[in-house]
Amino acid sequence: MTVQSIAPADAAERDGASTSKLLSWFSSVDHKQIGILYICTALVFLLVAGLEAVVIRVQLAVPYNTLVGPRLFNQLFTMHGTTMVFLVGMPILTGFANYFVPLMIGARDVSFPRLNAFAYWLVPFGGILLHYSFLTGSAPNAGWFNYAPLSERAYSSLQGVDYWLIALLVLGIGSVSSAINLIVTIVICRAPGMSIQRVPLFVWMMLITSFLIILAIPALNSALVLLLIDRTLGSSFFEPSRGGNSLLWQHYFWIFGHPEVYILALPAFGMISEVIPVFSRKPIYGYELVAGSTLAIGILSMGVWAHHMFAVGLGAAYDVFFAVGSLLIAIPTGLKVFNWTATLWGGSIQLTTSMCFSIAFLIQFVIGGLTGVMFAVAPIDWQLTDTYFVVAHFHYVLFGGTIFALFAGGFYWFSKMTGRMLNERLGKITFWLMVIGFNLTFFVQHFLGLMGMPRRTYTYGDHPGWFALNAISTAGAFFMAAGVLVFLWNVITSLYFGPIAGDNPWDAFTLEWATTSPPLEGNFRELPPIRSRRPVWDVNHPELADWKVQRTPEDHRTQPRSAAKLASACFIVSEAMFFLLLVSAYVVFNRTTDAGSSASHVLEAGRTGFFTILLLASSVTCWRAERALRRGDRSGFLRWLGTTLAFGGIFLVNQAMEYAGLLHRGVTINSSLFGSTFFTVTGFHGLHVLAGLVVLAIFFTLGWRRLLSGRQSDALGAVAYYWHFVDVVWVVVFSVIYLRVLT
Amino acid sequence: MMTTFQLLTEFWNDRSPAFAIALLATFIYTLAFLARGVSRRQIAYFALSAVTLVLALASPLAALATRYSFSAHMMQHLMLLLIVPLFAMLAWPASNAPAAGDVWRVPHLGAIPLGWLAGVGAMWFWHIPALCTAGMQHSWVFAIQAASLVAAGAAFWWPIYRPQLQRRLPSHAAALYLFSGCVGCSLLGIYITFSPVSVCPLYAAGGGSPELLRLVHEQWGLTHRIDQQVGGLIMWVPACMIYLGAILATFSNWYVVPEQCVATE
Repeated sequence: MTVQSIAPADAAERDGASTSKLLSWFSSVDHKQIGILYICTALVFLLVAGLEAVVIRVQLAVPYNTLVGPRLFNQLFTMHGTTMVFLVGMPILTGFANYFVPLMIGARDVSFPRLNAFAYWLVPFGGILLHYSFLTGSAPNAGWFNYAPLSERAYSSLQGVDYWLIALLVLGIGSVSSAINLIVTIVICRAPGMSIQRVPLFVWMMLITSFLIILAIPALNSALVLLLIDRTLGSSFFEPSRGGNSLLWQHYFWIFGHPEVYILALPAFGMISEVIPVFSRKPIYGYELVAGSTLAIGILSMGVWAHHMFAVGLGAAYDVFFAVGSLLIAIPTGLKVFNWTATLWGGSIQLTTSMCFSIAFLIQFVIGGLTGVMFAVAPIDWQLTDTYFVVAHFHYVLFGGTIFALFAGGFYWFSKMTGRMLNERLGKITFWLMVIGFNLTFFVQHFLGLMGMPRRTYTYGDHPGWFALNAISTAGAFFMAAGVLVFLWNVITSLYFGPIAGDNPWDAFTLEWATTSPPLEGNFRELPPIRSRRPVWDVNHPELADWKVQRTPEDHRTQPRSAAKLASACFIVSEAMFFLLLVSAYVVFNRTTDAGSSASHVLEAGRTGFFTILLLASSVTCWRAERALRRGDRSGFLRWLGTTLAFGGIFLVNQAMEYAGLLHRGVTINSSLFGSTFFTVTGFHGLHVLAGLVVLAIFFTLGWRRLLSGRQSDALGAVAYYWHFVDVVWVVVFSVIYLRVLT
Repeated sequence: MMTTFQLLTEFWNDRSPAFAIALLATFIYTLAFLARGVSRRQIAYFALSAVTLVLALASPLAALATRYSFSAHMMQHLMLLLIVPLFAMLAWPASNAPAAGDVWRVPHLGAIPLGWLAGVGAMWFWHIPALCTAGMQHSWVFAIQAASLVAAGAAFWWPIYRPQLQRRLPSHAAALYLFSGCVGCSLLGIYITFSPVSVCPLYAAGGGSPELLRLVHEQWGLTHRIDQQVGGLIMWVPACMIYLGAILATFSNWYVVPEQCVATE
């Protein structure tokens, strides 16, 4: 990302018009093409994961079925969950965001088009890595949350889990990159007049979602690297038999996992908030409340992860607090449902396919939300956890909610993306197949769960009622499969034979409808004046223009902010979360005095303290280098940056010598938990120092060759942010590990 | 056998200086703002602030916090740090006019990091085991502790709710300020909750009124371990709710169209 910032945002120019059309999809840095690539990739994986779901349902259609054995069944539900979350849900939502956020805010492209392409290409790469595990004969089979110690080498000795870990790391890096890109785009690239209080709610939701992504994904990443170190280097972070703590995996996973639910749900809320007003012919009711409640959901979602862990017996005190925190989320979520309903109220409702899906979303999401409130009550959770009631609950949220919202958004925006309309009759058929199929499949699972049918078990006994309910559930799956096939047929035929859409077929309100369908390169020929939340409505209905009846805060931006520095700051927030959890792992395993004393035996705080001061000094020299570059003082720049590089290099050399000494004394990454945590924390910090040095060295070389001017001081400033951050992390690491302030 | 009712009725410390401070503050508030005029809401905020101060320092909660319950001690800290100064600041009449000699159009930069460090740092600082113990053993340390918590809280809330409206932090910056403050306090809460090390070992030492000890440990079931967990969770969850409430409050201001903007219409 930091390298990216050297290239300014005008990288949107394509790589020459001579490239063939097909090839342009591979080399594109255009946000619309990348958006479509995201969506198509996600659809491919939707078919894969859907097929897995169908096999699961067929296996469960009758009791004592032997179509697939327990091992394959475990692989199927693991891959279904993982694929749906990481390769369908997140990419398809990112795809829509990629396509529509720049259009909705009146921008030409995203802030960092090449970073955008990079983030996209990590999705197929990660997806192929994950599915390649099938070829090794051992697809991951420890569930989508991959609980330790089951996922440890001792219990999952084949390579499946390793592929899972690496694939998720790759996908996580992509998600964080695209989230940073979206934040910077929304903050910086809005058209004049588009104050942040006027952006469409989809944009607003994507902003909050992106913040959730940069905060939550690093938690997963830290858990993944710790487990990977366990599995490949022989440490024992999550292995209780060797002093580790398997609950730590659960904590880390759900610190990521609970916000992840909202990462998948909030963009869906945004789509619904766009579709319902247009087809009710009204502005959204309570824009401020929908936006504000999203912020509340976002913040609350970061602090309630332990409600996924009621069953492990954390203790009554925990349960009470987390139960209350989780129940609180129902308030802002309920507020939203109220706002959507109030938008429908008194509107002249047009029951297009898109609107039908939105209304079904409302009802189904409320059911999923209510069962969620039930689960917030710890005793109910103890009774129902790991039964089909859970499966029913989260499918009502993620399928009845998110996927239905995606259909609503898809039918709404297809015309904009392709220039042609989808067939409404086929759309209605899809809608009814999906509604009937979805509710058949998952509503009965509530009862199965209440009867005690465990999830993730490959077959079941012939208990009273179980066969009938399971058979209904399986029949529903075929309805949904048929619905998806009709939808795909609709897409393919409409692409070639659908009626031409025109710029604004729905008489919609927001800026993406102010350009051609599909939009031209650079998005807009001319932007309408933006004086309210519905600029296109204002232009088309001047006598009823919003700004005449309701004032919204004006756009007060004066001078452009630095995209590179903002991106760097977001990246730092994300990295801070990563290190926070790594350092926490150190604290968890070294908080008792005897473990702490092992640190005082082998570590030399005095020596490292000296090099700490050197590293801190390099922050000052880096800052001086930036100032010199801004002034155009080349020799000063080279002198200060050279000193920075030297200080950083000396620090790394000392670290290498310290490592050599420790290894010589038998302290290795797998010798004890002290060794494991020490090498992991300081090792990742060292890697960050090294990365910073590489980027600074590139700047040094550019400066040496006289290729830098004061204009690039901004990019160097962004790198300097990162360099200061690395130093701050070291101060924390030094205090915790060498000075042992927390033990 | 003591009951909870007895605790709530009999354990008020009528010699606590909190009453005198609250009275003095009321006197000053009345004098200072009688002439300038304050709204009913501001008077209510002031009353809440004074009452919270008395509750924190002279109520049965304070009695529990002396040596019986760590979670009561946490509640006390939360009230002193977050609630008393917040309400006191809201009771202050705000104005659009810049203060005399005020040449800064942007929020004063030094106040922001200082306020943040004071607010978050105070909690961390006073829960270093040695200092926590000292606060329980010596009344003068306790007095410094209480005063510094209120002062630190005032410094923390200052950039958000200072009386000069124009110099308050803009909403998005306020949200970041509060959110990072929430993270800072949560980390402490999480650490206390999960730490096997006793943060304030004196609470486990016993002593004091055996009746009260029995009430807390046996009737309420707050053993030392659970007590510390609850204390940490109070620091973590309800404290964050206060920050979150403030974030939403500043955020809702964000959508308010400035008055003069409407007037020109």
